[in-house]
Amino acid sequence: MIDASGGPLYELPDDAPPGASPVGQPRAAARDDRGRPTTSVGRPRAALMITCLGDALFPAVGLAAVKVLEKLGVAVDFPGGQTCCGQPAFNSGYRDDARRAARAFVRAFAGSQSVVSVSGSCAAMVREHYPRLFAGQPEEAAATALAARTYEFSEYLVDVLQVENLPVAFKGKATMHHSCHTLRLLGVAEQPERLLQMVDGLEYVPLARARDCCGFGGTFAVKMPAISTAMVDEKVDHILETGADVLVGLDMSCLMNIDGRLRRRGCAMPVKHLAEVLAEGWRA
Amino acid sequence: MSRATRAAFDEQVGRALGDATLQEVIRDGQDFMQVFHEQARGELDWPALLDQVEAVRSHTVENLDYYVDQFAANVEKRGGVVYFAATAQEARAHVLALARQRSAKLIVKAKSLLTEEIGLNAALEAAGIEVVETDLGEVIIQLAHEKPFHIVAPAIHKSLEQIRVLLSAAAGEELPADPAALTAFARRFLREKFFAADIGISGCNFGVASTGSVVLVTNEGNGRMTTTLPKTHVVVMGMERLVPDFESLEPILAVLPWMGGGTRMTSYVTAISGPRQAGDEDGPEELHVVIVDNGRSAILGGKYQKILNCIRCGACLDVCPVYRKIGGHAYGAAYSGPIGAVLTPLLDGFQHHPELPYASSLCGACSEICSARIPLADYLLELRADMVRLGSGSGAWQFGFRGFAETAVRPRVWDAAERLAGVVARPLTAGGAIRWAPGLPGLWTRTRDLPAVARQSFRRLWRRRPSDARDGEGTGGTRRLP
Amino acid sequence: MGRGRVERAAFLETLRRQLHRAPGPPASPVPRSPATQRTLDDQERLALFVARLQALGVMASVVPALEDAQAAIERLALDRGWLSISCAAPLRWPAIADRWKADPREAPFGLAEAELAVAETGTLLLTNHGPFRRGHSLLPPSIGLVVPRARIVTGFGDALRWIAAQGPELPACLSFITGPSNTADIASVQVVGVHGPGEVFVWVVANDEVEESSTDGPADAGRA
Repeated sequence: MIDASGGPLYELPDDAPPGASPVGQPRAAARDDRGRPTTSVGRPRAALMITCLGDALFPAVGLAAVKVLEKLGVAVDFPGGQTCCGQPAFNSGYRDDARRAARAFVRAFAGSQSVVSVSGSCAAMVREHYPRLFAGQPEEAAATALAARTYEFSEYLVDVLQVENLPVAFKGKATMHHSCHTLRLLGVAEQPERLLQMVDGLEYVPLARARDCCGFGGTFAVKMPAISTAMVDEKVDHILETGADVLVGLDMSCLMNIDGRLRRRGCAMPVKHLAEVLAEGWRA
Repeated sequence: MSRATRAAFDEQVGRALGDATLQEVIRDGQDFMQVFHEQARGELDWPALLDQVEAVRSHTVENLDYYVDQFAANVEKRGGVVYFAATAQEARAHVLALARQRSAKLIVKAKSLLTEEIGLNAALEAAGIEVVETDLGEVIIQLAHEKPFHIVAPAIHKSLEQIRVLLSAAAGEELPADPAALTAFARRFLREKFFAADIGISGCNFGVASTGSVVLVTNEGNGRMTTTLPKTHVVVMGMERLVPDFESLEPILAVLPWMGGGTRMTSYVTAISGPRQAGDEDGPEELHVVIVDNGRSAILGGKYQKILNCIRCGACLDVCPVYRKIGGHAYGAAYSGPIGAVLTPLLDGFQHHPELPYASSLCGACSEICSARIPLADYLLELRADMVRLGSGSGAWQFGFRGFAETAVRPRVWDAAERLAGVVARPLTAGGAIRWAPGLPGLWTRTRDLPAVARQSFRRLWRRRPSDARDGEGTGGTRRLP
Repeated sequence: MGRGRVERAAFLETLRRQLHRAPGPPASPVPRSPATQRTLDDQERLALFVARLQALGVMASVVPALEDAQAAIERLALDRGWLSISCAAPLRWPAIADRWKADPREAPFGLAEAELAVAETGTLLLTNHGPFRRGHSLLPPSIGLVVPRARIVTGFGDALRWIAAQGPELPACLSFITGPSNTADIASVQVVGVHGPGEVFVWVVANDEVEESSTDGPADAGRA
C-alpha cells in the first residue's frame, strides 16, 4: 500500500500531460458510430468495485487491479456512480441508511457484466447481505442479480478467468492474512494462495492463526479500540514471526488496520494487496 | 450506549487486557480446545452431525409447548413434581419454598448456569441456607466470589497458585501447589457435604420428553453424587433444554463431549427418570423439576428463535477472537462469549446490555463452529439493527450515518467530500501517514497510524485515462477461456 | 395444587401463542439421524472396545467366564488389603462372603454389572434399581464393571436405541460410565478421580452370559 519511500505508487505527478495514463497501453480500437470503443465478442468485461477505502485511500490498489485484469484480456469499466456498498452503516445497525447507499450502488452497477471488488468484505456485503437487505423491496431482483455476478478479485481470476499461470516475479518471502468475510462469507481461501504460488521466485510462508480476525470489524475498531488493538497486536506478532518480506491481503480494511499497527510498532514490513504484488511484478 | 454500563464494560475489558497472565491462560485454553475441534472434524462426518443436531433442536423448539407438556406429564408419571416458573423470581420462590418445607440447612449443587442466571444461590443463602457448589470449577469461583469465566470451564482463568490459595483458605491449612493434591482435598471436603446435604440441586443438560427423564452429561462425578445422595433432588432447567426421545440424543452426544471437553464421551451420562422406585436401595426419595421460562418464550416465534437450539457446548467461546482478549467476566452475565452476547440482551432486555452486540468484529467464527448451526454473527447484526430501531443509537452516530447515506447517493458530493477529506488531512500527514487525528479517527490514531488520503482518488485517476486505453488487449498470462 | 394447574396451563399457552401452534402433536416427525456409524463384526467390536477402554486408563481384560473376573477381584482384594467389597446381593459369591457389603459408602471397591457396552466410546451402561445401587459404581474409589461380550454394541446410538426400546418403564437411574471420573478445572491439568471413582476395572466375559439379573427387556435390541 505504502512503499518504503513513503509515497503511494502509481500516482501521476501534478504536471503530467492530459491523457497520460498510469496503467495499460494505449491502443487504437474499433469504435461504434457514436465514437465509443467497441470490443470483440467473447471478451470478458468487468466493472471494478473500488470500494470507499480504495477510492479515497488506496487508489494504487485499484490501478493495480485494472492493470492485471487488462493484462489478462479483460475489458475493465469503472461505473462512476459507485460510492460505498453501505457496509459501515449496515454493520452498525443503521439499515435504512445502508439501504439507501446500497440502492445507489445497485443502480451504479446495473449495466455491468461481472463486478470485481478489490475488497472481499465489500463483495461479501453485496453477495451475502444485499438479497436480504432488499427482501420484499422493489430492488430485490436487481440486488439479487448483482449479488450473483459480484466477485472478489482473486476469486475472479481463479474461478472465472481460470488463470493458470502468470508472468509475475517477486523475490522474497510473502505471507498472507485471510480476511474473515472473504474466508467465511465468500469461501475464498485457496484462490489467493494459488495465485501467489504462480509468482516466480515468491516463497509463500503460511501465517500462524491465519483465520483469526485482525480486529478491524468496521466501526468496531473505533467503538471498541482497546479490544481491536489487542487483536491486531496478536495478528502483527504472528506476521512478524513468519520472517516474511511482505504481507499480502485481499481486503483493504484489514490491510489498513494491520499496516497502521505495524507502523506504530516501528515495523517497516510492506503491506500489499494481492493485485499490487501481481501488477508490480508483471513482466513485460 | 449508556455511559454507566459502558464504563463498567470498559473497566472489565481494561482489566482483562492488562493482565498478561490472564491473556496467556485464555489463549492457551482456546488453542487447546481448537486442537480437539480439528480432531473431531477428522474423525466424524461433522457437517452431517451438525445438520442432525440443528434438525433435532429446531424441531423441538418449534414444537416446544408440546414437548414441555409431554415432559412434565412423564416426570409426574414417574413420581416427580413439576413446577412452571415464568420468571426467575418464580423459580427462586419455588425452590426456596421447597427448601423451607424440608427445613433444609445444607444444599449441594451440581453445575447449573441456569441457577446462575436466575440468582438462585444468593436467594437461598439470604434465607440462611448453606449452599455448596460441588463442580470443582464452580467451587473455585464460589470461594472467589466471582461469576463463571467460561460456560464449560468456569474457573479457567484462575492460576494454580490462585486456586491453591482459595482452597487452602477453605481447608484452614496450606495445601501444596499440586492439582492432584488440591483435587484430593476437594474430594474429601465435598464428600462430607454430599452425605450431609438435605437437598441436591442440579441443572439438566437435556430433558427427554417421551419418558420424563433428566439427562446429565458430566465428568467429575459430583453430578451423580448430587442427584443420588440427598433425599430430595431438585432440577432447575431452561424450558428449551429438551429432546423428543432418547434416540434424538445421538447426534447431540456425538458432538457435545468433543466441543465441551475434547473427548469422545464424557465420563458420565446419567438419565434420571423420577425419584427412587419401590425396592430401590438408593437414590433420592423425591424429585422436583422446575421448568423455567425467564424470557425464553419472548424469543419463540421471532427471528431469534434458533438461539434456543444452543446445547451449551462452549465452542463459540473457544473460537471467538474478542473472547480471546476480554475473557468471560466482561460480558457481565452467566453466559459469555458469542452465545452470551446474543442471549443475554434477548433475555434481559437490550437496555441492560447495550455493549454486548457491539463487542464483536463480526468475523463469523462463531457461526462457523456452532454445534447447532445457530447464525450467531447474523443475530449480532440483527440485534444492532433492532437497537438502532429502538432508538438506542447515539445522536452522533445517527447523524453521521445519515450524512453518509446522503453523500453516498450523490457521487459528485462524494467526490467533493473525498477532496475535502484530503484537504483536512494534509496538515496531519507526514511520511505518508497520519499519526494523530482529532475526534473519532483519534480513537484509531491512539494506537495505529492512518494512511494518507490519496492526492487523487481512484475515480479521478480513472477519469484522466485516455478513452482508448480502456480497451487494451491482454498482454500476458494464460487462462482458459470459458 | 389448583394454582399449579393454572400456572401450567398459562405457561404452555404462552408458548403455543408465541409459536402460533394449535394444541396437539408436531406437524412433522422427529428428525432421525441416518445410520452413519461403521459396521463391525464381533471380533472388531471387542477389539475396539478394549482399545478405547485402555486409552481411557481403564484396566480392561477379556476373560472366559465370570469366575475369572471374580478370581481377579479376590486377588486384588488380597494385594490391596481391601477390607470390604460392595455390590448388589445377587452379584456376590462365596469367596467374598466375609467381606461383602451392600452399602458402598466406606467400601474401597464396588462391583456392578453392565447392561450394555459401547465399543466406539468405551462406555458401559448400568441400570440402577433394586439392590443394584447407583452408589456401587460411584462411591468407592475403585470399581469393577462386568459385561458379557455379547452385550457390546458398536455405537452410542445403539445404546440409546436400546433404551428407547425398553418402553415407558425405565429404572429411576441409568448410568453411562466412560472411564474414571476426571477434571481439568485446576489450571487445565487433568486429574483422574475427583468425586467419582479414579480407578476402573472392566472384565468382558467372553463365554457365558452374566448370572441372571433382574433386568427385563429384549436382549437383542440395539445391537449393531
